[in-house]
Amino acid sequence: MKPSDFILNSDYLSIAQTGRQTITASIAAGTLTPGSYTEQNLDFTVRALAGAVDRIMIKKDSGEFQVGAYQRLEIYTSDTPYTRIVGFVSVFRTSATNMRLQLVLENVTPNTVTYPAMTFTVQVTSFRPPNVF
Amino acid sequence: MAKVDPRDFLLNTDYEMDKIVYFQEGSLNVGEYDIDTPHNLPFTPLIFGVCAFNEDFSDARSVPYEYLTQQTSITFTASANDTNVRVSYTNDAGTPDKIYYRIYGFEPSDSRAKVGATSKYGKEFILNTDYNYCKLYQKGVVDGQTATSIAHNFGYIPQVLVWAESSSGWVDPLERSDWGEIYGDESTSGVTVTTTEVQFNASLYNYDKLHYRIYYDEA
Repeated sequence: MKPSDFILNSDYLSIAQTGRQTITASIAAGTLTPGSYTEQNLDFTVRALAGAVDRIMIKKDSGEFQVGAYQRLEIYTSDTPYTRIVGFVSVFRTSATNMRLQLVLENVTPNTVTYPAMTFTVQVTSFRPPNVF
Repeated sequence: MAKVDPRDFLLNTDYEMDKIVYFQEGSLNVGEYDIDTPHNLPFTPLIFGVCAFNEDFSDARSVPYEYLTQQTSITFTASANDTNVRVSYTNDAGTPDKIYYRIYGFEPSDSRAKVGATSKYGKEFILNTDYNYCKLYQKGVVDGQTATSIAHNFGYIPQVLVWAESSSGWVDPLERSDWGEIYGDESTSGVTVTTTEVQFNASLYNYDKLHYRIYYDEA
């Protein structure tokens, strides 16, 4: 049979949405010495669902939502002296009831760098995988 | 007939709903790379899924998963082409030494193929009105080399899924965006979702095509 012939068809697994949630995480400004990095983990309680398939969108500060659970960050803070911070923000579950926003920033220059305060807004829609009902 | 808001319904046969046409689960040890499994489908499935370091998937994370710093590199990736689903696990820290994964697949928007049933993988209900089933607004393919946008004008942020297809025919779930501030000027690459449109800013990724699914359901 052709799945495309049907609006819904119980011969095929579906994926059930169990919830949606907005998470907001604020990171304070900080300083990184040459070659150093910071890893900050902010944990949030979410509705219990082991093995959830989560659809994630991330918004940084007053920007727009970006599709995906991983956002790479890069900041050139000034050209004199040359400073550059690279890193990422990643959102994932650490347990059935907890979700983590993980921020990693690295100073990849020989100069001390100050990174700005940041606020991330995360939209999480959670789905119950069909094989773990 | 009165116009309805699809969000008012858990499932609504006025709109197409997702059907999973492919499922695979397994585990990889550190260093198992480019492990191919034939999917036996007459098209390249749009795959998505989760990976986890705990066997019960309590620490599930979206595929692909990356933790990349100067000191440590941990990645789990999954891709599909016209014959195989490929998975890889790298971790230069060595531990956790095993990762578990579940991969699901949708049929691409330009396919009308015959596909075998997948309901045999379900353990209880295929449809269950205790939960919501996403109502598809639009699915399709855009050029990955050119920035473009698709209007929805919903007035809210809808759920959106995107897959990137390379010139070699491998298709990956797009779970990544880039944000940069260079001398005070901000830039973004990836797929942006606003209350009025979906913007494909993906020219920086150098992909051939981007497959997308936009839902009436809110993100």
